[in-house]
Amino acid sequence: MKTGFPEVDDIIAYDAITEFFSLDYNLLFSFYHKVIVESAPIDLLLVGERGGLNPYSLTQLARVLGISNIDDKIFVRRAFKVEDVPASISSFKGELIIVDPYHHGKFIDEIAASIKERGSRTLIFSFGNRLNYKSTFGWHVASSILELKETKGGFKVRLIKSPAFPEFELKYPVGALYYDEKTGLGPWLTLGL
Amino acid sequence: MGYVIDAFPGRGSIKVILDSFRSVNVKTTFPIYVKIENPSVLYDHPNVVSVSEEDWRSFEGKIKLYRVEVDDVSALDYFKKKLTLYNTIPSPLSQAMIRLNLLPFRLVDISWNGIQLISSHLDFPQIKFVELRRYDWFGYSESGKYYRVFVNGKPSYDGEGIPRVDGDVVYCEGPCIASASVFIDRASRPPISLKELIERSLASKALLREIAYSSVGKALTINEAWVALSRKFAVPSIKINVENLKSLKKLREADRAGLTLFPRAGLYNEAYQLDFVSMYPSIIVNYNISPELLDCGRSNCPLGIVPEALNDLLERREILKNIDKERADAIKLMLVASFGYLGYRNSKFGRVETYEAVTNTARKALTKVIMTARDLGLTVLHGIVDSIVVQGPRDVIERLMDEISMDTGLQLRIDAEFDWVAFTPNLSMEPHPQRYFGRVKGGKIKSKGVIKRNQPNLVKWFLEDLLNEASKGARAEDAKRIVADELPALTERYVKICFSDYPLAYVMTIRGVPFIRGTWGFYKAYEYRGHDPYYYENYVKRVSDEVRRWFL
Repeated sequence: MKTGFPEVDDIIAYDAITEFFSLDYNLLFSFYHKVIVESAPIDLLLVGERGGLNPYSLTQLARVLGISNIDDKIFVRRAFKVEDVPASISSFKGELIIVDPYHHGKFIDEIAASIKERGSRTLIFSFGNRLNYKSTFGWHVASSILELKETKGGFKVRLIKSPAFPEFELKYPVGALYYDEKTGLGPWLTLGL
Repeated sequence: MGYVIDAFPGRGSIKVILDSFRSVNVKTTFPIYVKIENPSVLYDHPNVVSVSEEDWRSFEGKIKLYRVEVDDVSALDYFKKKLTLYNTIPSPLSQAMIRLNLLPFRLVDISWNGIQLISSHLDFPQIKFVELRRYDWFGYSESGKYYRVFVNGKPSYDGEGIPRVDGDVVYCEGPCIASASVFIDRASRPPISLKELIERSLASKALLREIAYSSVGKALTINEAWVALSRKFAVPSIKINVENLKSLKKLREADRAGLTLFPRAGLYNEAYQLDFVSMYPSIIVNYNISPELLDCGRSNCPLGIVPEALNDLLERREILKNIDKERADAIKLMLVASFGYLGYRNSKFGRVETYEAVTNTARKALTKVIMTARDLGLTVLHGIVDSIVVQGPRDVIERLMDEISMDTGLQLRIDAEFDWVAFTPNLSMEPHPQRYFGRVKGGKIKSKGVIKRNQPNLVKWFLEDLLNEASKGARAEDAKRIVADELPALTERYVKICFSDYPLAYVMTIRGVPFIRGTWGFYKAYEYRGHDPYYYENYVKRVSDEVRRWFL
């Protein structure tokens, strides 16, 4: 399981549960799509009534990042109503990515408990300002918490909680969300030459 | 003897309200279904009369439930807080009533020997039902100054003063002076007629009071819950669904809506519109799609709860079509909602897998129709989810319908026989899949997506007039010629109305509220305070230009 950003991967390498949050919906949406593709094969739980995943975007990203057979490497389960969330989380065995588990703003204790009870690595992506909700919204569950913010021409990842690192920020260009930094667009430009 | 209008639970009895304001008390207890490890504690509650152990089935398998008979239905609130309850829909009151043969709006004979049902489930009750509607110069509105009263569907009063109404069931829009056994405030519920509401109550065997302020889904859920109850199938208050794990590929294939084609824009002569009869409910019934049968496999499955409930509704609708169209429409609305409720997260009998199975089957069925039609030499002009427009000889089309019925088990029927049909382009000259119109045999126009609810009356009338003019042409070429000749004069006539003083023409209704565009912006049209003629002129000219493109 990796994010595709080596520095971030180093920070969360030993954490069982890591949470990313952002007030910027589009930024977090693009970010976790890249994480899903980078982490494939992976299980994914989407919480919410609708939306939350663009399968075509995943396929496109996989092609850009050179990952084959992405369609058979990502396994999805959806939890539409809040009562379904704890049971759905418990139903997964291995590594898991959860998108917006606290979406409904209810059953926080049950959801937090089901995440904590898992024995495997879990990445959580939450929309909204988690700093305002603090522990009542499962703040204590994650070992590391990182905030994503949009900056001019890119975005920054701010480490808010970590057992091993002090608070600091990492800045990335916006393109880092959509292609492999090392590769760039070079191979595509030389195609057919 | 009398019709059951309403009922109220009492201590150890039900007060049954019959027609003509009569009432009678009937002794009974109310059933509550409980899952509990130590049932003896149930007797600690003072309202518990008896407890009996029963074997039930549930979504998870066999379970043991205790049927607790209570003499006061308010005990349900206590049990809800303390215990896990099952089958709370239909309400314990309705469950007690059905045991006594007391069904809403059915004629019953209550005597010392017992209660007997006299009328059949299809008979409409001979009661006095009154509907009071308010209107004003711009049309029906709950804030209108004038009142219209309909007694048993027939107009009986039209005037300015608030009328005094009385009846077994009274349905008022806004404030009214009424004496009734059941009073319904029309302003607080979706706008359907009282007759349709009574039909819903008859079909779902639920009291009118219980379903009057709810969406159509409640009547539908109650209907399914009766089937579950009769089969001793335990339905929890909140059903937890854990979706089957899907690969990305499977998710992409499953999570789709019905099939819609993009037609080639233009006018076509001699075409037929074929429709699947109640397509989605028929798929659920014919393919036995129900949430409790997900793990059942493909064969040896018993008939599911949802298919059984819907089958009853389908049969009822077919019979009612020949008796009363309004009542048949009420059932149609329930059938339409049945598919959506199958995938709704809070539905008691819903699971997303079943919803996806229905849309998948519907897509396959429509694809089958398209492929078979092409094999038979027919030209497919358009297809929208459950209907298709084809060109070709009638005998070949009838063969197509037979073949599809044989292959899919779904019934295909001719919905319209067009002399000509038009598929229109949108502003960027691409085909508009949800908009078509055409002249059907007999000269009438059938249209979809042409006249919109939120357009000003002026524009609606303009389009109606134009389509009526077009319908004078028996062939597409004639219709084109007529529209080319008539459109400038018609546009000119409606532009003149923009600059005249005709308030009703400028009203547009958005979400039930009438608006007029004034020179300073939109305002609510409860009172006419002028209009912006240039706004309406541009509107008419814009629509006129668009119509010209349709008939090119």
